[in-house]
Amino acid sequence: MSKLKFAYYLAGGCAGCDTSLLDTGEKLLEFLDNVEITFFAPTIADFKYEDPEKLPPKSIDFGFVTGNIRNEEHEKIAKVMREKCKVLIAFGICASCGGVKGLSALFKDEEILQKVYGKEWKSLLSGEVPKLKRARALDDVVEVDYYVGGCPPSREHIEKIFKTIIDGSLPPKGSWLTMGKAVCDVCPRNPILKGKKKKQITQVKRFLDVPKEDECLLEQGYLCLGAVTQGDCGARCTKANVPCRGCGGPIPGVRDFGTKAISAIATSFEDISFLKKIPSSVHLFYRYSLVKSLPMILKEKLGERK
Amino acid sequence: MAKNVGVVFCTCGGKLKEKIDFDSVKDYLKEVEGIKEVVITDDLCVSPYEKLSCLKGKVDGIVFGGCSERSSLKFNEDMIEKTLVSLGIDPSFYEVVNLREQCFYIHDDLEGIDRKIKDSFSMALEKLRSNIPSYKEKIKEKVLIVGGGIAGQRCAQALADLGIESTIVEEKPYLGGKGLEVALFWQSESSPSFCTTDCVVPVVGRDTLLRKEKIKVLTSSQVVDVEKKEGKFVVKIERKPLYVDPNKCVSCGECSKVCPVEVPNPYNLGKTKIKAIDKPLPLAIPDYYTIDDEACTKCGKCEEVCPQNAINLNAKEETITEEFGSVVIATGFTSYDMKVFENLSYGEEGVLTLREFERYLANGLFKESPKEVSFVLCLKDKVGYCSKITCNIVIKQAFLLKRNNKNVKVRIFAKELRTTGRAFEEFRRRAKKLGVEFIKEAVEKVERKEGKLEVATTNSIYTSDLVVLAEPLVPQQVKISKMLDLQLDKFGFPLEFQPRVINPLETFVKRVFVIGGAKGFKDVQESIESALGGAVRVYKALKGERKKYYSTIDQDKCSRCETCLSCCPHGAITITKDEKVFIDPSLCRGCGLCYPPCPSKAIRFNNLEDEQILRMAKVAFRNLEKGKPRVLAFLCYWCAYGAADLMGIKHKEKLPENFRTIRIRCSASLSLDVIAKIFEEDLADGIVVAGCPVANCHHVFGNYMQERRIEAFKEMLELMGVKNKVVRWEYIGVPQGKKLAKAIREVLKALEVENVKA
Repeated sequence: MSKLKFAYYLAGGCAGCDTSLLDTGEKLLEFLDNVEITFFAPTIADFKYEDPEKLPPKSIDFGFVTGNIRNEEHEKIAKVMREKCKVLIAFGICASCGGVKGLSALFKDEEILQKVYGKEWKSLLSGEVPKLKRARALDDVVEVDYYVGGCPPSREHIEKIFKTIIDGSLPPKGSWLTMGKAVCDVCPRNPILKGKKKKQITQVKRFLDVPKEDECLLEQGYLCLGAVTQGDCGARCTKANVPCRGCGGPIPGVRDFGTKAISAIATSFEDISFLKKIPSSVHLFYRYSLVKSLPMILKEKLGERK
Repeated sequence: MAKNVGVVFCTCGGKLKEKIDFDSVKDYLKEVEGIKEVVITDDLCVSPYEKLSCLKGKVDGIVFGGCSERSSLKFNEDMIEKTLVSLGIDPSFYEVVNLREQCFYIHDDLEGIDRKIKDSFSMALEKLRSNIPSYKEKIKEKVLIVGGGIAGQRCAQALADLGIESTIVEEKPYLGGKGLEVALFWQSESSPSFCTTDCVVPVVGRDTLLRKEKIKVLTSSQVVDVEKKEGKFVVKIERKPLYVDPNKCVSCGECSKVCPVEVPNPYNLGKTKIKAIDKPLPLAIPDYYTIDDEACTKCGKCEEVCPQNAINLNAKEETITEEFGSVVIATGFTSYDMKVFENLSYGEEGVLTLREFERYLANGLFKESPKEVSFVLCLKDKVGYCSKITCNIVIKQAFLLKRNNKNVKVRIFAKELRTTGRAFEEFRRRAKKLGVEFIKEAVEKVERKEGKLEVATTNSIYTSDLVVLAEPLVPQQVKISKMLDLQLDKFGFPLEFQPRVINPLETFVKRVFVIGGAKGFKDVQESIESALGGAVRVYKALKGERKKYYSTIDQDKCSRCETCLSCCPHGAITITKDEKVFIDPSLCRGCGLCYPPCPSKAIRFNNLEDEQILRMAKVAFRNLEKGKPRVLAFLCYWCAYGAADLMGIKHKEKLPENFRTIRIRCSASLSLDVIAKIFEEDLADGIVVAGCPVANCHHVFGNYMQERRIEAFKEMLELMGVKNKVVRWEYIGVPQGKKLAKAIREVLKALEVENVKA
């Protein structure tokens, strides 16, 4: 049997997904027995952006794009990937929903650049630097066949995805590659495991002290988003005593992660005054999905940018 | 699904024709596929069956256009459902276009009205076509009555007389409850006189046992677990070992004679002695001897002498599992722990509670009869509520003491004495006449000094040989209420289901009722009133309801996050033994509170799904002129929609025609997802969501929940600078039509301003 042709591109990302991919270790080697890498850039393997451009359309069986689309270069290569790949997978929450870097949309580029590079940012960034564009998810630029959440996707999750691809058992196009249930379902703190009902949130705590190890974080007042987040991570954060921040992305069927998060959290509050106790709601609810969120879309429709 | 739709207009005696062009609407409907029949009548409410008989067998769903299904005094939704059933149509398959209250009375522009009606018909059709059949509750026709006091028994008797089986579970070895503690009951409000317990309690008890085909009595038993399962309450009852067979024992007392062990009698607060096998009180019913398990040495003497062979000392504790369709809580009340009030010296000899005093008096437990008796009231400010019957009990006792012995000095210490109604005022007058002293001073301290008790008030010190502290009463059903997941008030009494003023015995959990003292302090007569009323409510509830709106859960999708569990006010969502979340449609009240927050979209809210609302929203402004702002008002089933119905009729409000209303089950049954989608797809510009006023939600906290969600969502829109889409929350009670009209008007206005700017 001929090997499946595989391509991988890191756009506006931190290479965390690449690292997680490598973390699969032996499974990666097994995977590589079954696939042939036709393109992998800019990390890990030695390929040039021109390489895939030379290939005929749809000649690659499947491609992963990680990171969001933040500049002209990302957009250009993403389009090449789309053209050459039969199946295109948004790999990780940045490609799927814009990721944490999507929060840049809250500011003007000039503000960010000045903050990072100082007053001289204009002269520093002249020359060959690709032009910035507002942060977008992959499917804002090209059609995406599958979505994978996670920042980054966990090793176990990636291994399952390998298996799905090799077995040819991908779900209908447009789906998330996920086990389909929330972090709560796999979280050892879930009160249901003790036959108990989850208590209302009677206080809002910031994650500055150490939570109790065996109690639901939300019950303790830490605004854990486990209930609204895909649990393919195996509840990694809550097992490490850290509230879930939603990197897994929305449960299939949910259109807007942040809006669902508001629904679930505001519902569980004991009192409306708690809303004011959230240090920054937008960072809590839309941390990884702002660019795909409804308020953002409406803002874009208005053509206004703060 | 309704495939063949009938449309029925009513012109309200021709009145609606003044503003509504029914022919134009009829022409419009001709274009719509699937409409089989259109009926126009002037007075549907006068003879609905006659008017609609032409539809029988031809249509499987009806859109009514006429008066409000919520507020119509002649043809509201209950009448509609009844009519549908007579036509052989499932009661889920109807929708109403509110022509009268929410169109005719609030609008004047004829073209605007015409457009609004056409859109409203399209909305109703979209909804109707996506409805599914109603759910018929499956109910087990058997009732659990927790507590065998007088209320519990009278309720069981009434049910038996209606043909309904019940099981009474009573912790004590005998029936009678609090009633047994009191020697003399006051009679009725009309008559300041007494009935004796010795007479009344056996009368009630025998009446219970007489109906043994229908009433099962489990004494010395306790409910230890309740599992809700497919409309049933699966109840685990633990029964102490039944050493003496009540069916064989004839209460000859031979066993007691030979029993070598003496124990304090709990019935008399341990002040008298009985044998380990005995009857705690001679009139105890069921009439059989019981054994104190802890004290009995199992010597076997009683077994030997029993002429009836009724005793088996090897009997074991029993666990009984029974299924019920309804639960009646009749657990009564108990006394506040008076040790908390250290200044009152409770526990000191001669300081008793009112309930203890009743037993002392009835059994002559005093070493010598007291010559100076002080009654001390009241602790309502300390505990936060008035126990209602306590002042009356005090005045009864004071009167009796004085009547029976003129030489006793009786003082009542109370800043104010609440002797209610006719009988108790009479008791107070008589007590006063007999010389009972009323001291209107607050008691600061009770203490024993040099052999005498002293009652210190703000002004003075009084001596006494007996101080009776009128203890606050406290609810006694918290354990069973927790098992059933009832909503309790802050003192532990079950909250009544809304509208509570007309549902005094219903709890928030379907088919669970509370009667007697368990739902608030009552005397015996009042307790029985509620017991008899409760029986009728139970009888009705057992018939089962057909419901259009109810939630179900898809286990394949559920992530068990329990978000729904914490927001179901009706105890309809439970955790199963295999750690799954289950929604019981037979217990669901169809409020939809669980639906919007479900993060996994595992819950279906049948007949009011997000997709249905979106289908309605898609056609809601199809006929509206371009450029006009579009406002959708989502109104809760009872309060806000009721207010909208009265905007014109009562408050004479006039509003622009470019808003549409959608009646939802509870304000909190509307998802933010729907609001988001409506904005995203540009189906409307403004959304008003209105729910019941503060402290009045039919589902306890739905209104608060929705306000929180909307405010959080609004904050996000504002942060992004979104101004051409507006969402607004309002608390609206039925009489607040003006407030609702103002909110709608303001949202329309704000959007107009934005339109101009753009």
